[in-house]
Amino acid sequence: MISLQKSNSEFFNRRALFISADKVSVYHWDKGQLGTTYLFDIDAAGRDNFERYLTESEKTPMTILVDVIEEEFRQETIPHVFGSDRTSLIARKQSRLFRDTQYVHVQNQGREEEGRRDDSLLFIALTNEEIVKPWLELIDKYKVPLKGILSVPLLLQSYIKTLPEISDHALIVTMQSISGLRQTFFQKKELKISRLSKLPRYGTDSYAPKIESEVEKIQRYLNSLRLVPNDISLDVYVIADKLTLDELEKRAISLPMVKKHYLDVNLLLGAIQKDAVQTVPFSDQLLLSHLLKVQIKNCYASSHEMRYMKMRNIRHYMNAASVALLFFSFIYSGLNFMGGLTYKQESEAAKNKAAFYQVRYDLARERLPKTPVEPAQIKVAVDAVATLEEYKATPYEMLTSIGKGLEQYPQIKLDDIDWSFSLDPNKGTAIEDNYNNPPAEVMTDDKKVKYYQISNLNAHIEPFDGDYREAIAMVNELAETLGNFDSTHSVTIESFPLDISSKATLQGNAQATNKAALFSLRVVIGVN
Amino acid sequence: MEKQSDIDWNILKGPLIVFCVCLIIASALIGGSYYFNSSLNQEFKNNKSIFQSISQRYLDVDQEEKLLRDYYPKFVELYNHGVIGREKRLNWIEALRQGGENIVLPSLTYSINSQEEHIPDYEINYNGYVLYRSSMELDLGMLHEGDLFKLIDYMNKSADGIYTLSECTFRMNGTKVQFDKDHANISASCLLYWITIGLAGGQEIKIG
Repeated sequence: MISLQKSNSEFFNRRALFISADKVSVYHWDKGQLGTTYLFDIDAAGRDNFERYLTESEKTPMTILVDVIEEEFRQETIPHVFGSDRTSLIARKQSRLFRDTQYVHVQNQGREEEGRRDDSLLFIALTNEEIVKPWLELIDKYKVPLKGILSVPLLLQSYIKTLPEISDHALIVTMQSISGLRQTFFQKKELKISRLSKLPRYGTDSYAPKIESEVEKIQRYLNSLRLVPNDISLDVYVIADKLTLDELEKRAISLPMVKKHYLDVNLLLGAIQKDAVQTVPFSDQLLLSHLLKVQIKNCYASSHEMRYMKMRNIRHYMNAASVALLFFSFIYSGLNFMGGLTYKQESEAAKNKAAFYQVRYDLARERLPKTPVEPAQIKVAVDAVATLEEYKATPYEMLTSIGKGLEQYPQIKLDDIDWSFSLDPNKGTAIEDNYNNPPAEVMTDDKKVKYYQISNLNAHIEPFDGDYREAIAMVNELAETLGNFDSTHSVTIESFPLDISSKATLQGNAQATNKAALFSLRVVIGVN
Repeated sequence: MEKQSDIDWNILKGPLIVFCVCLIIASALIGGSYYFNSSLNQEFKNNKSIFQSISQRYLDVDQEEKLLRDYYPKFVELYNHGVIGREKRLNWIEALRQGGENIVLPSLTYSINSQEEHIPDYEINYNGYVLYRSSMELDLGMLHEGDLFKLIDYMNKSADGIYTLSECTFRMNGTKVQFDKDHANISASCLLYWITIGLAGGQEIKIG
């Protein structure tokens, strides 16, 4: 019968399922300490009990720790390549080495020092999936978030990093209550091989002789693999209780090129969990404490097997996002609301002050006449009319100027005048739209000219005796006379009585004298 | 990327609903508070602007009094002469007719087009107002060019409004000047703009 107390702090709790070939145990981690432990047999009854345990317990995340003989270690090399090439090379090696299992973990262990400096990889695999599968199926059935699957050697690789002064060639010897004696060899703290051997039932025989004989065996094996150079001793770290360690020391059996170090499991456990005490030589609690405290990354589990963990994380992220969203919206809206209230107060104050000044303004305005527009606007209108008056144009100045000019040339008779008003003295000419070109004739300097009056006048010489030279000279003189007036901006002769330019076609009767001497001028005057 | 089959919506349903509800609440809070804040901010700006305007006007009331003293009589005069406010077309026509009779012009015809907005080429400040113009085409038969100036002079004295001549064409009729008062030695065609000022909003200016 399993009796469970449901915890209120599911978010921070976690647990581990420790699987061996004979037994399965569950360890709970609660408030930084190992809590309740449950033990199940590897049979149908054990699985039923585990299923019941799962139904009655919180769905806290679970990590699976495996300690079985069916775990293989293969050191391989591959060319030093990257990306998809590397992935396909590893996949090919993996399928060749471990065809029948999905639980394969690959560790990169640097590069070879000689040759083409290939990458050195350690392939580790649980070769018998059936040890893990039944338990995983139950975990999956009850949607328990799976954090990952590891093995004791992989866990030890993480654990030895917490131990001080571990040599480059270290053999870690631990004993697990449900699996046996585990010897794991590390070279420069990198896992190389590991071996599990059975132990007699606890309390029946002393473990010291067994440990010594197993260490001797593995030392020979390591030497055969040349993992430990002949001139370098192997450091053996035995983790056990004080009683077993004392017995090992008393026996004082020395092996060539082997240095023994005895580590009290109780002291090591105390470094992880304060006040933790154990009287057995096993490292179960030590390893599980480290596993649950440090939360080591998954090595064997697939993404599909860990999907409930991912969904749990998503759920927590979404809940956190919801809380954050509400929190920030409360803060933001609170600040907005406070700001709004401040605006309201200031607005009321401004309104009151405006009303105060309005009353005084109305009183002050009572002594002024009522006007259809504001006083400032009255000034704008009056000033605008004054400006319009300034630009009020009549042809008076132009006709006066032309009249004064013509007085000196009684033979010149006006035919017609086109007069217009413009701000542009070149209006109606070719350079009107091209200010880069200067006007053809500029006769005066137009300073302070408000606007221009432009006249195109057509006239003729009467009487005309056919002397074009004299007629042209007269037109030139008239233009010069007009150009000499102060108000004149420019005078342009648009056409002479006779077009003698090279571009024109010229024909006539040399004897005829009755032809008219027509010409045209463009006169521009500036008005100040 | 998770496969669709790996997603258990029963697990995510609750947090998803909570998230959506929180999103709605947060949006409502943020949107509502923003609206609350911005509307009160706008109200504050309006009231502050009113306060600044009225306080400034109160401070400027002496200046306004001086402006009215200096400019209002002229404004009223311009209003009465049809420069500000409504144009006085009938007055123009009467002035033209009387001018033509007094000067004894051989012929005088006119046409006035509909009023339109006038935008001068020169710099002029008429902020708050719109300038309008009515273009008048005049065809005159004159004994001599002085008749035009007499007519202009007469219009200046008796017509209500302000105008400017935009263009004129003078033509001599015949080569010899005849001294018959009914004979037009010169024909002139002129374009005048009668300019009036109205409020930019289109409201009518009324005095009295």
